[in-house]
Amino acid sequence: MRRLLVTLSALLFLHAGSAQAADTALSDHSRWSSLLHFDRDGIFSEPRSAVLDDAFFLAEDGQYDPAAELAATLAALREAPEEGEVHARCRFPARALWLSRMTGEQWPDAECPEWESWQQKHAGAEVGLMFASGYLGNPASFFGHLMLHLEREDDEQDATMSRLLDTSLNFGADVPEDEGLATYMAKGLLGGYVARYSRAPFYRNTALYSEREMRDLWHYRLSLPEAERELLVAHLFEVIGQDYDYLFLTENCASRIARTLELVVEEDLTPGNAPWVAPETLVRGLGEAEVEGRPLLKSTEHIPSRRLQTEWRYHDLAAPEQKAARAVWPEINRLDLLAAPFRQLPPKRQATVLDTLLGHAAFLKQTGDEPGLAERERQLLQARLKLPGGTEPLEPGEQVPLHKATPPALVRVEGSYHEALGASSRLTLRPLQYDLLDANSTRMPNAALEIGRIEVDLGDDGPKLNRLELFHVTNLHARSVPLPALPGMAWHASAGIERSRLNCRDCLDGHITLLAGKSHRLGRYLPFAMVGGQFRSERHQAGPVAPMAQVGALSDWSVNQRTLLQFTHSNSLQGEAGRRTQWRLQHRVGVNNALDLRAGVEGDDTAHEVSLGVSWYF
Amino acid sequence: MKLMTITSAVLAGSMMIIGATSASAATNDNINPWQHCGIGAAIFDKNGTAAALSNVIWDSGTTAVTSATISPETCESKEVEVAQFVDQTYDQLAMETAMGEGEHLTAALGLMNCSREAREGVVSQLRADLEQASATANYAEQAHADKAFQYYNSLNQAAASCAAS
Repeated sequence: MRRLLVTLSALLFLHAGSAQAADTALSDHSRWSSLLHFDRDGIFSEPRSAVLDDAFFLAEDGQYDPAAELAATLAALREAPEEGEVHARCRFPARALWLSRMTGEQWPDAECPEWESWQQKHAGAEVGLMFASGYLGNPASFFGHLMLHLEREDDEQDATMSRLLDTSLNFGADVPEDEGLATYMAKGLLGGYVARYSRAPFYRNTALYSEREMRDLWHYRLSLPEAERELLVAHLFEVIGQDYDYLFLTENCASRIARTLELVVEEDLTPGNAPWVAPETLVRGLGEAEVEGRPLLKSTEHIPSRRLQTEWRYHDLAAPEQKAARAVWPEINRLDLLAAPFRQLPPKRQATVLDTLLGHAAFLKQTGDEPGLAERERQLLQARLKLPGGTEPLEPGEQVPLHKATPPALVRVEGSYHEALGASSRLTLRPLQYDLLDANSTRMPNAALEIGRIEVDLGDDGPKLNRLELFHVTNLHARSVPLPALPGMAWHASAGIERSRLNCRDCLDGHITLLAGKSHRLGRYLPFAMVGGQFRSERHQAGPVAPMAQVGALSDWSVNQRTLLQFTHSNSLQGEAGRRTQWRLQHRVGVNNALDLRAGVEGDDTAHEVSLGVSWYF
Repeated sequence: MKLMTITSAVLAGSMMIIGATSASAATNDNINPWQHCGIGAAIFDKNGTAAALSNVIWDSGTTAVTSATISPETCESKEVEVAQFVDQTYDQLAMETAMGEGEHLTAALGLMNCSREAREGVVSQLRADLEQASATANYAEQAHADKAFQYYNSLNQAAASCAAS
């Protein structure tokens, strides 16, 4: 609405011939701010553009003064082109387009080879987003990654071909290759990196995300009116390669893409007051936004990772074919293409089995260096090439797009009964992101990633902190198909404050816990065992370092029901005060996308407690 | 890595000469995209900034030898676009060629301007070439770039009629 009013006032002033007033209206216009990425302001700093490059501004103080930049831009656009110089309309085609639409002015003709080359490739492109699911291999990728996606308009080509040859615009920080983790995290959180949009064919991203990191991609197609698409695609030309501020939490891929899209979407695409902008925030914002009264989000498409494709292929095989697949590749270092269960299949089914195994070999190549794997892949290729071409279409499993998945923040209210301390209520707040019970395949199956979870008991003696988890990351790393795999590691890392015994309310101690081990899927059960240690404070327990072992099982009963059973033993070898055995059983029943019910019972050497609660996700 | 780079480049160069009949017929000049355009390293926008970007971990490559005598325009040709695609997606292309279909294979044929009618014959030829190339155990030890270059030549030869049509 504000944008409409400013537009009307600018047009009114232009019509009335008040140039100064019109310029003021234009420079105050939200689209002008968006074109300049004028969205950086803080308590201690004056408002400015997020773009750091001087070359992005025509006025000397254009980074800080939108009105000066408007005047300089209009002046430059009105100038006749000079030989050897790139005219403003070539450098800033989106500014030229929008200002022409607003003022009715036409700019002098100019030769713009780079802009024309861009137009040749991207004029008329559909604009969308590509979301790469979270990846626990790199802290910066825990919450996923977003890229802009320009889809070619080419009716004659196959859709799949168009997609691979489409263009990705990736906003990422420029990080030196040899940067240490501590520096990387410090600069990422506090500042010190610059970020840029870079352009690459989409197949480079499928190679990285789908094939190498085994991350699912989601294509979010946007429905934008043609004129808006034209403006946005022109603006993308202006911003490629420009240096921007980068902060991992607030000035990241999601926030910059949101600010870029807001050039043509009159809504805050990352609403809320959270001190971070996650890719999920923007994806959910897209799902809610409208342009000219129509939903901004046109459609979503899931692009499964190599791991998931292979899983689907395997589960599509009939039982004798699955048996044949296991017989052909019984162990990681042995291939038996003469195995009877395989030879007994007709050629077409043999081909389907080999297609599955080729996919599995591609997956294995990315999970580690196994000597001889290349040779086994070669043998599979040879065997497959001797059979007729043609493959079974993939039967996709049910996948929920991120914007429809359970939201990451939760509030839980529980009633609990403690055999020693009596009944109390417990309030849990978790800003981010999922635990082992509410994780799903859209984010990361069989994993937990929680940040800033806090549990407070509300009893007769007032509120008492039960637990604060600064972070908690678990990856059970389950194998998805019963084919030979390279050793994978289940692991857990957490840090926070918790009660050192269950029979007291004030015995809080800090800890850092690191565990590693194995998991093995048995149907719907995923048992796991990990060993490691705990570094901890000693206010209510003995020993600053305690070796630790944990065993447990995660059970999937249905899409909405899951159970977690865990036993943990730690022992600092300092007598009873340094020893503790805990166990916990939790069951989750998902009611809908935003609600679940949880029942739990837990105990240690000192007491037991039962609880029942309801969670609201938002 | 450096030694490997040079060795692979020499290998690729030799293979180019051996495969000149097929490659040069389609590419119409003596450009070896691997050798002359640094494929396997990083070729991006003209601003050249993408290589080091976070979340962009491209193949470090084994045959990145950029020649100062080759102009940037040369390396923006269709042939180089095809070569980049083959280099970057070789593993998927080989797998899908063995299967006889797949989105990477479709994209490669699209880049070669092969009509739907022509694709069956081209895929047939690609499968035969790959069967021959992977017939011996040496294939497993071959450098990625060498396999990709071989496939590129095979694609150029098999799809020669597509380009002409």
